[in-house]
Amino acid sequence: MFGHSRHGGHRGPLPMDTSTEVKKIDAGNASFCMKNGFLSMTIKEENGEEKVYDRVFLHRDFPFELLWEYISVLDSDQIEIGIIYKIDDFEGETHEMLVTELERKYYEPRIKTIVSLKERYGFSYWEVVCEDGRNVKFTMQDTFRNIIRVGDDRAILLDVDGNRFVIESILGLDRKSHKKIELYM
Amino acid sequence: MSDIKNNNDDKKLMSFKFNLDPMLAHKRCNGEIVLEEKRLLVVIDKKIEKEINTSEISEIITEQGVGCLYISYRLKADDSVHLLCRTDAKTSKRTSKLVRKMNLFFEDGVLPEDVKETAEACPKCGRPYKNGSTVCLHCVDKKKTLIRLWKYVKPYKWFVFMSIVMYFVISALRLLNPHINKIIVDDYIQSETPASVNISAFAIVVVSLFVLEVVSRGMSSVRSHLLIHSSNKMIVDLRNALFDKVQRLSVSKISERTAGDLMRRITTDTAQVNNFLVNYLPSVLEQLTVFIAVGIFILLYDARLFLLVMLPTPFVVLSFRLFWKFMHTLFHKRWQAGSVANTTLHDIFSGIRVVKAYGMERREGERYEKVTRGEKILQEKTDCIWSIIMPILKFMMSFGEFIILYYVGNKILGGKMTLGEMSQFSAYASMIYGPLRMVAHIPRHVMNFMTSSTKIFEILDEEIDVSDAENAKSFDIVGDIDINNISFGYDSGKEVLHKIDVHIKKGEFIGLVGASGVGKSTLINLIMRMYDVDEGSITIDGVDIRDISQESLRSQMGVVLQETFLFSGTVYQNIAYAKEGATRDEVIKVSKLAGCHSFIMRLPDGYNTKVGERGNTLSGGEKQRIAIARALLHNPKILILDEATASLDTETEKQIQDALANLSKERTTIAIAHRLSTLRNANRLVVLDKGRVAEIGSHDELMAKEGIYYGLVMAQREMTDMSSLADN
Repeated sequence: MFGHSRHGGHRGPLPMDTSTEVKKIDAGNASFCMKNGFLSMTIKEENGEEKVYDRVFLHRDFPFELLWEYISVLDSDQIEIGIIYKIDDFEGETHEMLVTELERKYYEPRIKTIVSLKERYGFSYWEVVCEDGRNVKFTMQDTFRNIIRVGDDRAILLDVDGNRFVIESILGLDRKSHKKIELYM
Repeated sequence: MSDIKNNNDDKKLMSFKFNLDPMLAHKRCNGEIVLEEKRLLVVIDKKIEKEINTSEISEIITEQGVGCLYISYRLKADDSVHLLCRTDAKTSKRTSKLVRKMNLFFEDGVLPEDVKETAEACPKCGRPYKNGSTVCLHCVDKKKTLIRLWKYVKPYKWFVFMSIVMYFVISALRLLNPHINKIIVDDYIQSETPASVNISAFAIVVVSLFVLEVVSRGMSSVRSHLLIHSSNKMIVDLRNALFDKVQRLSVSKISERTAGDLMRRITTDTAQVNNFLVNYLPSVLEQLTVFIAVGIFILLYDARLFLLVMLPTPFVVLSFRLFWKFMHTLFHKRWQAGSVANTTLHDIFSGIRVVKAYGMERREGERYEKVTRGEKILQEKTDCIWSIIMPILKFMMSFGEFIILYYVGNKILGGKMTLGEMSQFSAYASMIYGPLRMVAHIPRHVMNFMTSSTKIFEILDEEIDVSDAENAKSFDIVGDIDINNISFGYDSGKEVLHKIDVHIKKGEFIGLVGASGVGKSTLINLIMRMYDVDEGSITIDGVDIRDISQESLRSQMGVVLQETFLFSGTVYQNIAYAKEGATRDEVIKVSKLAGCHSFIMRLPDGYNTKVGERGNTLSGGEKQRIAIARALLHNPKILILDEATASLDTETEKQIQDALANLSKERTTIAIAHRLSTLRNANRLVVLDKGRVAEIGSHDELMAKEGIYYGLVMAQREMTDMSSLADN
């Protein structure tokens, strides 16, 4: 999902990914560390040699359904190096590092309570309390379309600025909050 | 870490704020990136967290996360990228723009003047503007909007005035009706001395009732006619004004809105405003008149009776409001379910070939059945609630009439009121509740009207950004084009073209080469003045294009785009579109030149073949050749070809190339092509890379240089060799 600006990390036309095989990345063949504020990876190639990627990008293959599985690891040209099938394949500090990296990239505050929800002139105005206790106000346009239902209980809200908010459990919301959002469910 | 206030010996040039901790995923912070002459500072909570020498930085980089933006810097020494900060999506657009500005400092050592910015939220209330809008629907001066609409009503003011007068007269006549009925009952039917009743007087009263009815209906008919006449004219005026304004807006302004949005404003919103002004408002006035007149009459006659009549009023208004609020939610859900069903149906029918090819008819049938079932359940629910609540509300409204009946019945029995008076008051009471029902709907109608009229004025008030200068010139173009150090970026904040400096001589054939997204089409749009450059200038024959009238400029330019658009009409009309009064001979001549005459002749209806949305299906190549014929007929001084032959096969392309070679002999030609063989006739090639001119020269010169162009040619040759091998 990383899109480069004109001044982006990549220079020149993007090369094409021509590989047809998926390389599995796990604790057995890869190690991660932080470098210059970004994730760096060392991977053992099939010929036994180690290759260092100064900067790699993690990208969820199924960002709505599988948050911690099927994670593509891309190089600085956005070419896939391989896939981490389960984050839990890694343990301890590396596991922590990968989770943080994904949460850093996918900034999606979780909504705990809906304080108010008003609709006017095609916009819906939301005031919510997030899990970190912050009171956040945001605006949605074309509300029905911008609430993405994942399964029966989870919802992702996209606001006019491009922010994403997550309701982990619609049924788990308090009665008042549920009543407010019910119209859009 | 040190405090920012203690380190202010270097001059602050610019800064931008960020709100997410660079390393901790969910932690928010109060941060600022400060650019000074010699240092770039990362400040979090007023403490300097990081300090980099500006002389070491080559550029600032923005990268889009999901719901956030990463900002980092690249070091000159080893090209390595280091993270500076993160910020959420709310501030990301503005941050990108500021980073672009900051990068100009790292490139030139000086900061430019303010980069243009478009406000995205109302400065008064902070609410975001709707897509492409610059007017806040909440804060707009509603009175002013109404006054401005008067301009469109004014030419028909007498029609409107007459119809309003008629509304009042008809209302008065409606009020007279129960009074005459009262006379008929009291003085004739219930006369204490029936023998003394004057039959001819009775007949006159009955006839007057008849006349009253005829006059009332006649006036209603005339009033409707007047309103239809004035409203139709007004709506046409309003639509024409809007259409004219949209035509004068720049491509950039038009692109901010979807075609559907513009169409909605011109059709639906104008109709909404018209309907409110011409139908709803007078109707409200009429009902209000009746309400006030009847109220005063009853009050003067009997204050207690007035109170009894008014007793259910607050309940009726409140009940209607609550009912509508409740029903609104249900209707909203029902509408949404209907929309989902329609979308599903549209989806299935659009992809019916795929559905059939995969034998998925039954599965799609089940999918459609599922959504229609959902719609059915909601429909049943709304209809059921409507059928239960509505009679109750109507009963509540008529409840007042029962009270009146009881009250006046007692009065009649007490001999204080006549039967005629009772029938008169019953009629008036029923008249008073009608307007109350309307009161509940007024806010919704007013809101719809205000929304529509605001949207209309938003377009009418739109500033024309690419406008003709006061003394814009019109002159015959020779064809020298000078692109002088231009830079340009669309509103998203990213710079698309950077310091382009190219000089083109009259009659030259220039090929624009480069990967997708390097700014080739943008450069062409700038030459055509679809947008104005941010920096630098483009001159034609030494005159800045901003000083040439747009009509004069574009009438001497011919364009063939990759995506050909044919208007609904005949082949002949589509070619002749380029030149008013083109003769048939001219059209045939250019068709032959463009290589489309032969296939047109194979069509049963020849040049009269219908094309466009509902017309004959032409292939992409055939449409392209028609477009080229159109450009040839235009006989432009400057010819622009934007991937004009991309959709043609190699043989056809060659034929058209020859035609274009003839055409471009005496005119300046700028062509974009990915297929480099298309540009073999070009005098010079301009290779763009990341919005900058990377190489410039003839084919031979650039091949000898073995740079980007050489690489592209070699890659294409390799592809061609591979295809020929595959063919063999």
